[in-house]
Amino acid sequence: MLFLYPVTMFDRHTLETIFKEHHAQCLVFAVHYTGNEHDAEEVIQQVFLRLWEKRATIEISGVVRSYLFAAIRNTAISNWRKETVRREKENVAGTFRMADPVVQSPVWELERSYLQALAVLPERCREVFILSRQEQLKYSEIAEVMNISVKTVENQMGKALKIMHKELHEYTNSMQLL
Amino acid sequence: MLYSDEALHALLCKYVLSEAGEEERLWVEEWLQSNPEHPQLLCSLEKVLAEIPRREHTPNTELAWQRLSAKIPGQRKFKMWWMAAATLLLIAGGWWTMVREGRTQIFTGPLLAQLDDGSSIKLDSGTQLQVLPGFGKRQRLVKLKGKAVFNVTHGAVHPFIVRLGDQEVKVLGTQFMIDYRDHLRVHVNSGRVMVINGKDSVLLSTGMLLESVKGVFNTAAHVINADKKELVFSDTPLREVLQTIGVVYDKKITADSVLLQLPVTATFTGESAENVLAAIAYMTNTIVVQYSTGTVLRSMKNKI
Repeated sequence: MLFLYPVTMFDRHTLETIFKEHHAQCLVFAVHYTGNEHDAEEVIQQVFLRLWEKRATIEISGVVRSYLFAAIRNTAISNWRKETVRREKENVAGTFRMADPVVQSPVWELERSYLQALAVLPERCREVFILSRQEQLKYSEIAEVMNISVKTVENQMGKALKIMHKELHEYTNSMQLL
Repeated sequence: MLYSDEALHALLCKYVLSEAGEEERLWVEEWLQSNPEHPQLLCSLEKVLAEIPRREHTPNTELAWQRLSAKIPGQRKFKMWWMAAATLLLIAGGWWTMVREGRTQIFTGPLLAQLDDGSSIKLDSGTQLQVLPGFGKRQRLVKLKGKAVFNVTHGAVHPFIVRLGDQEVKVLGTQFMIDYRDHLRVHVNSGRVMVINGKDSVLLSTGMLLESVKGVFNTAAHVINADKKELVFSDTPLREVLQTIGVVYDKKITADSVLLQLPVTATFTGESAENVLAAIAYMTNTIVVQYSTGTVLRSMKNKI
């Protein structure tokens, strides 16, 4: 169910409420795509500023968080593309990937293995897996954020689970993970 | 049914993460019992799916808001003489206003409460409404316990906020019903409201119904009148129709995944859940199967 937000209804109070309600979650989410808090905060500022500027016509589905996460993802990727073009001109191109999750485990070897296993996953597969296991998003939310079908999320999670299980086989058999 | 290795992992993943439908859950439970090695495999997969610990961030939300706020045009910049004039005005206004605003007004239903901002609230029997000090001047904040229908005026400086324990409904100019007895239930007759519970917020527009049970929001659209169970669907995907029926009738209803996009056009008023489901099953050429944990609409092709 989509609806329009007339200018007169979307006031500063509404923006402030939404910002303060979701800022902390948005920051954690944005760091996955930017790799650091500073750039993540910049992305959040861009997203909310655009939300304010487009308030007359912007369409938001029921759950605000999903809308914000999708906007943050798109903005972060767009920023990265612009940065890549700039760097290519300077011959310093790189490849985009989500920032690795920081796993704070007392078992160093296990932590290293977990990150290595994540690195083995194909890019989209890893993104889906991290959004599910670190951000704790539901399949429907991941689908909305990444603009893919729920069925694709299911398939990517199955693929990720199979690879991760294979990579972490010796640990899952011997001890409680994380 | 045979599953490839990857499809099996996808299914077990859904099962562990509580994303599986009724039919899928039953399949996995049978699968678990079919071989003593299967529970071990599931246990091993559960360890892989354990939540990855989050990085600890310490966001300074207030500072971030100030940064954003400074970028938004139309900031009110008070000049000194305006501030002085405002101060004088406050003093001249005197203590009488402050005393008047300092009182909490309490209304107990059944009655129609008329508030200073022109909003009216029809309270059910036993419902209590508190209008907090400064209403209409500093804010438009009320507290509610019970059931009431709100008709809130548009265009005021302050948003109209209904506080319900640790949840609140922020009104963006509208007519809506709140039932806050056993659990929170909000239905929007016209306009928009925002429901906030500290963890999430949901924007509701005309015809949307929200139920909040233990802090979890469930929403449904296409509800003309929640009390009279008046539902209107026009080429609505079956997935949305079942979501609406589930929330309105407090039932868990799913369907075979191939059916979920089927369009449904129908109007129901005051029907029982069984009658509504029977009509939808007829329209979509499906059958209604009852399980102990819920109801499933199944394709006629899967009947045998």
